[in-house]
Amino acid sequence: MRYSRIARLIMRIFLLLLASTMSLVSFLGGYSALLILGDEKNIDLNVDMTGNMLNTNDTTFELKIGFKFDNKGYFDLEDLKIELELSMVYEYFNYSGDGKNKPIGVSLYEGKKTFKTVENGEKLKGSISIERADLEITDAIASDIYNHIDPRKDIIFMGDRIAISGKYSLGLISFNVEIEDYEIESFKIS
Amino acid sequence: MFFQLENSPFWQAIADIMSFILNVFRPIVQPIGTVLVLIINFLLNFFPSENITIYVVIFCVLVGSAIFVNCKWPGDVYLSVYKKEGDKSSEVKEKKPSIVEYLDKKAEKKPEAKFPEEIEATNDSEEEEPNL
Amino acid sequence: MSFSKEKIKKTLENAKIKNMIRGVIFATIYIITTIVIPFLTFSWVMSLEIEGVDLELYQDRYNQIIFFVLAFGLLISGTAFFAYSSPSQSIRRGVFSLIQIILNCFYLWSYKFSGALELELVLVDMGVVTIDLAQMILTYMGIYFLVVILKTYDLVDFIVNRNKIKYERGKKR
Repeated sequence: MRYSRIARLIMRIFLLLLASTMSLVSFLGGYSALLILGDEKNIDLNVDMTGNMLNTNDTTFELKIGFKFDNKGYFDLEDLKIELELSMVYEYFNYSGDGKNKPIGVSLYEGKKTFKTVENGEKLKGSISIERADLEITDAIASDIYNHIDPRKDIIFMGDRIAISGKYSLGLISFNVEIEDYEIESFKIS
Repeated sequence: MFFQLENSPFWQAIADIMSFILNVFRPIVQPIGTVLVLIINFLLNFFPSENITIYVVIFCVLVGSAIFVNCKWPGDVYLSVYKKEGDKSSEVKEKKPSIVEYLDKKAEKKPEAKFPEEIEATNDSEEEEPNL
Repeated sequence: MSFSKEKIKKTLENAKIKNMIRGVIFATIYIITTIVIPFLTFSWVMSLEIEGVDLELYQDRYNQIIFFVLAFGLLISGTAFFAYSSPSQSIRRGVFSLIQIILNCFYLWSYKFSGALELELVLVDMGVVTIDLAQMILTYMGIYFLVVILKTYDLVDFIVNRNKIKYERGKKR
């Protein structure tokens, strides 16, 4: 074999190794997505509210949006970021005076949070805490809602826009999940 | 489902090795890719993007010309003597005979088959006595 | 050796037929990998279901993807036929292999124009999932560029060592 062919063979083996690596990383990335999304226990979202949001004197109010993520895949989940636009829907009692209620939506919160890299096999337990000061509604609006709300009906917390973004497979694949008009939780006003 | 999706230690080990290889070579390979992408972005503007016909025509031209060129010059011409660069005087180009030529040559060497009557007729003519 | 095996062996000794068979085989492989498989994959992606939720790929994006896959797939398959039906280590094989690899780069990057690099999948009644493959494709392009360099090296090697290649080809026979 000519020396030029030997050099070529070495280069070819190196390129084959690189291409195979990329193919395997793509395959394992896709398989990881199946592993994570295939079991609903791997991603969990829950909302917990303490205190009374509509009572402006209540300083104990806190809305905690907690989530759990179990990285069952083969790679680390990097640059995980969650953006949240929350609103509240309540029933306005006897809105037009004819005895009928009207559902009213009010924008509550807009914010984002980034998380540390979730290594493969690790579980992430994170939460977004929303206190009274973080809310977009003023005390006046809160009082108005408190005075007109139908107490028999639940308050519904809606995710107007929930965006989850991150990078997987060594940063080669970026994903962005945007969920709109998602009913997160409903509460009875205390 | 036929199988249970689960994280396998074998594939995890493969993933770790692949991660190491890629992390080493990516800083070299990705910038090259970025430059190549800029060139290709520019050149792609010259490719027609609405009519598939031109691509079908090019495909047919390529296949047709390949059939013509590679049948006319199939690469069965070779050198029986190879000299290093600079000494080309004693190069001898010998074409390997095709199957047809080989069979023709073989046929030439074989004696012609004669029917028995012809052989007898030949023998009879040889034995004819001279008219004195 | 039986009569049919002998006939096949004699047929394959004919360089023209051997070249054409090799060209057809590789052209078929490239047609399957560059046209048929992507076409079937994108058709399958048109309606997917994850955890009972339907995903949809936009129809116009689908048409664009299929156009580029078909167009460049045809070019790649044509050049592959020319390259692989040429004698081994010949200059024309080197030239067309180089052209084929460059076309492969165009094929790969044209996925960007068809939107396949940034896949947008609609979660029915919920939202949108966007998957961005640009970084992965950039890495692939870098690897392809190295292959282009390798093919250029091959071509130069075939030109420089042309007589030696012909001699070695004869020795094998």
